[in-house]
Amino acid sequence: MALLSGVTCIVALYVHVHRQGRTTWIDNGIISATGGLQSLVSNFGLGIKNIADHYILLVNAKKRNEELETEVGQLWTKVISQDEILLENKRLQEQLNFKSKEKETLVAARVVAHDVSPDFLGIRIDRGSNDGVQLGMGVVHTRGVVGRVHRITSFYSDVLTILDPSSNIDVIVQRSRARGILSGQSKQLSCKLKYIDRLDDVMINDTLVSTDFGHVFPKGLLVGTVTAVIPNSNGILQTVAVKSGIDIYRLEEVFLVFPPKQPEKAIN
Amino acid sequence: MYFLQNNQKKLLTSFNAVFLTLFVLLLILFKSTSEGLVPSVFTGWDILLPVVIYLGQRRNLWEGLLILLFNGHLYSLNSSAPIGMFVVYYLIFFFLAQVVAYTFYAQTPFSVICLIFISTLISRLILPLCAQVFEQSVMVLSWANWSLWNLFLNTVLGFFIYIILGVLDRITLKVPPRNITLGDNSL
Repeated sequence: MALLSGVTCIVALYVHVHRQGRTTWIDNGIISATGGLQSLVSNFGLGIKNIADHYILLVNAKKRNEELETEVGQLWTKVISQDEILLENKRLQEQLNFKSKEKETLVAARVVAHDVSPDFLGIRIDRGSNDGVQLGMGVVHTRGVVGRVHRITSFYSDVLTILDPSSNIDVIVQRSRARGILSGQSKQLSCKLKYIDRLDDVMINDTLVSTDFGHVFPKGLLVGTVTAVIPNSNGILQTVAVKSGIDIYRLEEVFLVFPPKQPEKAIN
Repeated sequence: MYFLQNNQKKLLTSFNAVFLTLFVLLLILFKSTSEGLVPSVFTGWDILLPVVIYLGQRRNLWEGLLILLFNGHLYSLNSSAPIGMFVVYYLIFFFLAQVVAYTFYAQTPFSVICLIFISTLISRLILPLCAQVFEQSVMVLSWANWSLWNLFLNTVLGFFIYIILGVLDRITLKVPPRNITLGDNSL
């Protein structure tokens, strides 16, 4: 009984010290040492993978190249037409005296490790408080929103991805502007859209984009695509399943979103 | 290791906990850096559960607790779960394994496989409950937690980890505490 009480006290004290993701200098030391080793092993693994991908596994490369060239052609046409819309939008905003917004700055970081537990989906990046990273900062990728920083040490930061069950981010449906909270479901590697009114217009294949609420992510960045809409006949909300735009296991580089006028330290 | 002197043998045995921790660190490094390189179906296994079961069976309470608390903390720092959640979760399994070790003889390969399988099965209930205590929104009774493939993967890889730990103990001349008791009685 005394042993059980002793262990309970030690664990309670330990949990209390680390509440809300706080880390001590010992933890920082352990994370820095582990992060360094993870960085080395990760580099070595990526090197081998690159050799295999670029020199050995070149089956179907020609066919894939042709497909991508066609896709690039289509995308160029789309970009040119969107440039026209952008310029028109800018002209109209100037005529209406809209206040121009300052842009966030993106700073690149490399993914050195994934979450060691299969039930949680976090990643570790090689930028820490020495680079000006702060808690809650947004992390994005060219394919969309990745997550938010939730633990920082001097040289490394841990990012909670949008697929993690504890992650909640504000999103809107691009087509209908319906607003909801996106939450992860780690086991299925997908997300669900919460607090969407039953009357809100959401359809399969709708695109979800980020909002600038809290200035965490740039506005309009791809978050995911709606894969299923299940209307709830009794309640006031509907269930919406979402496929994330990112493949967490294939992430190699990400970008930290620094709020306007803050990233001098990181850029240096 | 028969060529070593007695004091060298003692020194080697006293470093057993360090070697065990290094082995856990190696597992953490492998698991956290290999996820982008292997197909995602091979990522759903728990590296520390077999280690905890091994500690529960082959170590006395104090020694096992100390090793577990340090390794659990190391694991926690490499996961996005709240720090401490996995320490509590693995402590539960450590105590269960201690109870099993004092109640049944479960050290044959078949019984070890069964033990790891049952522990993995129970872990699917205990982890979400621990997560709820730490205010993490992992679904407690979700079918997604019950993947047959992951149960199989955990059992097979867990058994291999258990065997490697046994080899590590043999190399460092570590004798399980219960075997010493049996030896004394037989004399």
